[in-house]
Amino acid sequence: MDGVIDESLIKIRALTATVKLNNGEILTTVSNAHLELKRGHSYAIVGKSGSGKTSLISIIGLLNRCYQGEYIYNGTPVSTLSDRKLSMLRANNIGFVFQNYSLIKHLRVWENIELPLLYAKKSLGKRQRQDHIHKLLKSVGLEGKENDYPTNLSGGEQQRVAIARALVVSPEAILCDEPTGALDKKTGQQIMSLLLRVVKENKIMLLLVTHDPDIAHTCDTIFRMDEGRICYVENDS
Amino acid sequence: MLKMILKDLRISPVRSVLTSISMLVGIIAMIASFLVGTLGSGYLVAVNAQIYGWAPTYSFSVAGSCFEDYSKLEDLFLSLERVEDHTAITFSMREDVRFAPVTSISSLQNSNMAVYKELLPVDVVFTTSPYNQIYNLPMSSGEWLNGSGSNYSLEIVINKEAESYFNTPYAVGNVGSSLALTPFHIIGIVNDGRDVATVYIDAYSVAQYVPAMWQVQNATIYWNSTHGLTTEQIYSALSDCIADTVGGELEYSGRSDVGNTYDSVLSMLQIGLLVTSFLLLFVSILGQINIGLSSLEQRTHELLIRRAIGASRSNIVLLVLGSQLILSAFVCVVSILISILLVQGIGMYLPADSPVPSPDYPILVAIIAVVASVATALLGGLLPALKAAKLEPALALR
Repeated sequence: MDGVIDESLIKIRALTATVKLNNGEILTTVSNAHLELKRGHSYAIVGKSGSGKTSLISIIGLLNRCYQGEYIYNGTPVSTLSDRKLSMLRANNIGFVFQNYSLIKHLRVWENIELPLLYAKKSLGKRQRQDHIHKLLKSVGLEGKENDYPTNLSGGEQQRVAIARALVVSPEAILCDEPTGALDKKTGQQIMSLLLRVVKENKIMLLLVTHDPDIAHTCDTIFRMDEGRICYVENDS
Repeated sequence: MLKMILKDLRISPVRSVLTSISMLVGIIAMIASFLVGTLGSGYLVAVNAQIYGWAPTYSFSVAGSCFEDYSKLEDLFLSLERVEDHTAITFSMREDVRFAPVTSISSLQNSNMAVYKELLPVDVVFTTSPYNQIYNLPMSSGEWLNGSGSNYSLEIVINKEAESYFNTPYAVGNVGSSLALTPFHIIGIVNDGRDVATVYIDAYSVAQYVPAMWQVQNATIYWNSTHGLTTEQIYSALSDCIADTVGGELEYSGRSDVGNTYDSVLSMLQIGLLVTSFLLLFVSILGQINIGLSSLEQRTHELLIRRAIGASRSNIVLLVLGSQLILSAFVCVVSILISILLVQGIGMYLPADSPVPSPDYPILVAIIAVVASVATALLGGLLPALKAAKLEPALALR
């Protein structure tokens, strides 16, 4: 298989996740999920509030290890990895875009974008890092905003910075939680176009959680969740 | 990472400054307690040695000896010089010696009557040059007795109390039974801590050149033990020495180690300061934990984002604890600088004839500053850091 890149990036089999509630009851957030996510494809997860969307994306994003079942990331079973290895895997391969931008307010735009590079321990010189960040900012339409603080940017601009931050380590996957949830319709569409463009250009797997059917339909595949189960899959292909 | 930590400190400069000050107060108190222990102890020992002699000094009285026989006396001096410990001898005379200041020796012939009127009884110590090894005798000016007196330039050293009276380069000495005036060259002024005017005379040259003044009643031998000899061993050695030279009876007079009696006072003071400094550091640690936990609540979301984008638990611990450690390094440098200034300041304000030498900076203080700073930072920062590390990155999505 040398020289052949497997299209499949993430495989999930019989994945179940539960949480213990304050009253002692056990709530099943994800129930017996089976998924295969491929490079260069975009996926949307839709469903009501409390249907388990965020729980599933947090497991896929290697943020949550409390589950039963099998999760294989690029051929590696991740359930046995230590926190350090899991963090490195996450830092080097997965970019996140959150609903409310989640930029660090006391860091400048370029420092926010640089952060994943530091955690991923990418061996880039200062000059290379600057060039890379400059190109990314240009690609998301924020050239010249390097030294601004997030609070000086509009919501759309902050989400663009978040996208640039997600892209900075050249990830294999980008996971988005309601990426347009805090934006107006027009800006949301612009952000989605940007996201879809960069994932196609870079052959990145995109997985997003959304309530908006229009946003979901821009993706190749839609998973509908209800009470922790993936109950419906709509596939363009 | 260091840049990230430094940036972190700048988020809330007031908090950083207040944390630093709380650490600094405790560390300075701890440094002060050690300075009391080191410099304070040195000061007490030096001042006591000025008045009572270096501890432990044993004294023995010698009576009924043949001190008028100069060759035997010389043998005694040589025997005492051969002792590996410090030894000195003082002589008490049958008659008091009075002194008067004179501006020049040549003027004596013309103004004898005037000089007689100025003769004053002063404390006179007939001794040998090693006397300043038994007592801590810093010189205000000039030099100490060096045992090189001659017939024409007998030497004396006066103390500070006598300085106002002997404001001349020479003095003459006289014993009541004689009209002879013996000229002496004042070669130095010593700070002996005494409040009575005192003249130190080189016994060696008086015995040789001024027999009229040399009417020894008895002598006292001082032995500063630096080799751990017992009283019995010293007594035995001196008995042999006396028997072989001037003869007479040797009697143990006592042991002077006043310096040690202050040790317990000093220790209590040091313990008091140490307890205070530990309490201050404890309060500082509690303050840091409090600030750390409250700051953690404020920045939970930021730390969750960091975890989500790739920070491991150890990265988070390093970030939270790192800022405390950087602060502690800063506090450490400041406290060492303050303590250096303090020690140097003490040295600068000491007079030239102080019994205490200009103190050296105790390296132990720097080590204590480093250890106390790091320990305070670790203890104060560890709980918030561990709590931060336990944050579940999945919460970043909530």
